[in-house]
Amino acid sequence: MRTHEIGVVSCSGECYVEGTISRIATRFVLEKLRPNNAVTICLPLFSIGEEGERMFAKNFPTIAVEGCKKRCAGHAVEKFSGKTARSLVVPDLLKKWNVKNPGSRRELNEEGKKAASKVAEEIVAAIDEILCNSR
Amino acid sequence: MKKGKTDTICLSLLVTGDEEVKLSVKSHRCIAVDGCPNECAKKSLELSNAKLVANFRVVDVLRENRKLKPKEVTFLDEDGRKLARILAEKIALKVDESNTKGAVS
Repeated sequence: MRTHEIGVVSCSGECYVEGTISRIATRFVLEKLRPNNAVTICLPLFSIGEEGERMFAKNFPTIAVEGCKKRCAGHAVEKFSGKTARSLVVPDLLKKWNVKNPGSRRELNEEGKKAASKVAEEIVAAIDEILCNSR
Repeated sequence: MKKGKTDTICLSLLVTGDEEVKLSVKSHRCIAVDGCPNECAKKSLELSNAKLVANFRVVDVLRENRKLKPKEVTFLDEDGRKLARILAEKIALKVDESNTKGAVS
């Protein structure tokens, strides 16, 4: 089966700057990098029981973008819809890339914006791999 | 505006049932701020039996300020920042009112 759409489920948390990076990276993917392949699923709406969001996640591959180690996005998808196709944990990526000061939760600085772009590239790589494997 | 007097909780943790967060919203006064009419924040607080003292919806702030037309989603533009400031002032006012009245259960 050829997959045309992939759901990106981003952290919606406000507790850490990694949550902000998760959301901005997801927006980069949806707006600029893969607008024809990816849609986003609103994590709070999904979690409180919106059927459309849950059906989508049941029927299409999903990528969880996690802002902290609690991994709410992946846990919610797996609880209500099924296994995620990929999981990206932003704090692990920032550590790997040695990002020290990405800015505040409210506003990313230049380092934070660059980190968000790199996270977006990781999401795109995951999307392309899923699409390639589904052909 | 209210640094040291307020804190934010992670809605994702609340909706996924984190016990620590559920306890926190039961023991502190809460203000829900919802980005869309589905009101996930308010509904999740109600479902958790939180001490909800007020709720705001961004769509209402938009209606009250029709001259402001934010267009950008990823990074707020000038009008988006103005709206955020207006909403922040409303929330801060509610924090002060709530502190004056004391805990509302």
